[in-house]
Amino acid sequence: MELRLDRLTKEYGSKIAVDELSAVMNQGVYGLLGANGAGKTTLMRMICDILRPTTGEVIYDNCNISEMREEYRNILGYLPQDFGYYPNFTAEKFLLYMSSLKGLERQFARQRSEELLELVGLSQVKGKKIGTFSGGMKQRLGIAQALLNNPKILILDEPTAGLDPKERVRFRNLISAISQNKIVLLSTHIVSDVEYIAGHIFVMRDGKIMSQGRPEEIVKEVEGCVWELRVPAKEADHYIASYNVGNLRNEDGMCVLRIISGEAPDKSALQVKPNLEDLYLHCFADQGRGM
Amino acid sequence: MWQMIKFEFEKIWSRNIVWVGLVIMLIAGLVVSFSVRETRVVTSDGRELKGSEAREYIEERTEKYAGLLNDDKIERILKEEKAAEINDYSIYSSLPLYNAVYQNFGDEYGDFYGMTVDEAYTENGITVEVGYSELWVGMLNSFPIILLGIGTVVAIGVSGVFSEEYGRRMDALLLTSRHGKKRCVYAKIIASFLFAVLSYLAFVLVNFIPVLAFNGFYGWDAGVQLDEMGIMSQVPYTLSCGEAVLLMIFGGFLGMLMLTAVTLVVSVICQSSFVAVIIAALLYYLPIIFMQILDVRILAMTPFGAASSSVLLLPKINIAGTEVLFYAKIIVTLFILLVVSWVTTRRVFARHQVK
Repeated sequence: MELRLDRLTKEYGSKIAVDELSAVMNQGVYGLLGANGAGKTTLMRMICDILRPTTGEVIYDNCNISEMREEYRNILGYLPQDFGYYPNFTAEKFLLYMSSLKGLERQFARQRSEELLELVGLSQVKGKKIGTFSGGMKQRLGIAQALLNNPKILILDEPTAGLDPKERVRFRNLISAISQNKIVLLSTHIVSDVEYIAGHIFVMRDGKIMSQGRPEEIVKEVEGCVWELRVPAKEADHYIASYNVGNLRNEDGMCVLRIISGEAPDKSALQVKPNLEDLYLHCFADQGRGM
Repeated sequence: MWQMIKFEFEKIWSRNIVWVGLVIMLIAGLVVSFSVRETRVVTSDGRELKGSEAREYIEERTEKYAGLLNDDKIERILKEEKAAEINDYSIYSSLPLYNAVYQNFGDEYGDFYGMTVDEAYTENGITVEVGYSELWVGMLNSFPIILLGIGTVVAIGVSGVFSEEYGRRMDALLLTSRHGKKRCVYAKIIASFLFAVLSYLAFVLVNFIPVLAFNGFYGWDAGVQLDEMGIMSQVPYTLSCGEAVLLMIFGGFLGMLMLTAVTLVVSVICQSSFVAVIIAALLYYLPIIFMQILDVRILAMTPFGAASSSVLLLPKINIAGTEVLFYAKIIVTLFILLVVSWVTTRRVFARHQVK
């Protein structure tokens, strides 16, 4: 099972949304990290064959996906960033509708829909109209429809948008549970969504992959660049304005700042072990300094 | 596949604007059907009759001339059936048969004034059966107008079939599903036609059944040329009122299919369902606006025109040595539209790029 992105490019006039991007994915969970406008959604749409690349190909098991057609869509599950739905459909009916589109036999579709509604915690409200759902409930329904056909390739675009922390944890556990024998690509700008479950991370910016690898490997890129500094509260603003501050917490009347910087911000700063969020902030430092 | 068609049909029907519009149009149709004006007639000896009495008189006097129209009957009708002038409006309350004959043969404004029945009809291969045609000819004239309403509802319903998917951002989910680029499109097309046909059938029944309930098939066999307004007198072939009504219903059916085919193409191209509705409605209404200047043969090829009684006035056409009604051309046009619609919607939707 191999999904290969071969020099994928997408141009909109003079704007390059995805810039000669190449990557290879096998079984496992892949996180796609990037700020808004990095090109994540564009990339995912090309992988799902609903957006034609300007140049480049998406190849699955040595076949171009645009030539595979139904065969490819049969193994694909997709949750778009803006999840569309029919307000007058109930959750159950929506899944049955999506099941018919995915070619599931009716009896099996009913059973599968029941299972997935239970899995995403919507079985109590399966008879209610989607229009009455909260944002989180809609998102969970979206995840359920993506899993209907037990896809081999699961593409999730910002799947945790609208979910509360408990739901996000539940979602992470769900992905981990179902990711065996699948290629799962999920995009997010919430680092913790992928930090614990992704075996491989792509950091994307301006249509390119800036960094990729196992989380513990790519985090090394910022080793020696993450500092903790205790300063009086009145000095905190100076450091926030001057450095890339990842976190600020108050402790015993002082501010403890977590700073990402190539050089020590102060001689009293202590070097600390970097994490994925530090890497993210380092890569996107100029897209919103500090907090 | 049937399951998909069911879902797509439900998506069309469940839109509030669609079923509310449909209910309003059907009720309007019922109201028009039931609001038959009270029958009135002024007899040749000066009696003013109303209601069932008038109806009995009309039937009795019309029966007197049963059979094919000829010069002798025309002479007798003009002489014996004119309403006595008891008031300024008597002339309008003459026996309908008298009005029809007078309209065509009675004075210098008549289409066939000074001509014999042979010259006007028989020599052109037309025979006219005398009978009570008023109700059916009235239906021929009012049917297309009411059809406008049903056409609008169909345009509204079908215009959202694809364009709403774009608007709701369901296009991404549909196009990434196994059957999203092919079977789903076919299901949408079939559901759209099903919706149009069922809406039209309901409309026809609602308009037709009350007429049948009050009138039965009386006058069904009367020649459609016996038109008080003089419009149908120009129909250039033998045609009974019943046949004319059936042809008009058939024409309306063809028109609904044409409208659906065109609206599907508009729907798949437009990113906004609102714009799709406007364009579909415009395409439907535009020929009506230019009705006075458009050649009837061109008007007949439009969704509205196919249902209008003007099509009946067109001469038969010759296809491979056989004389057929002009509806044959409309059917060919419809077939072409269906093919174009089927191919275009499938291709455009399958190639749609999600934004």
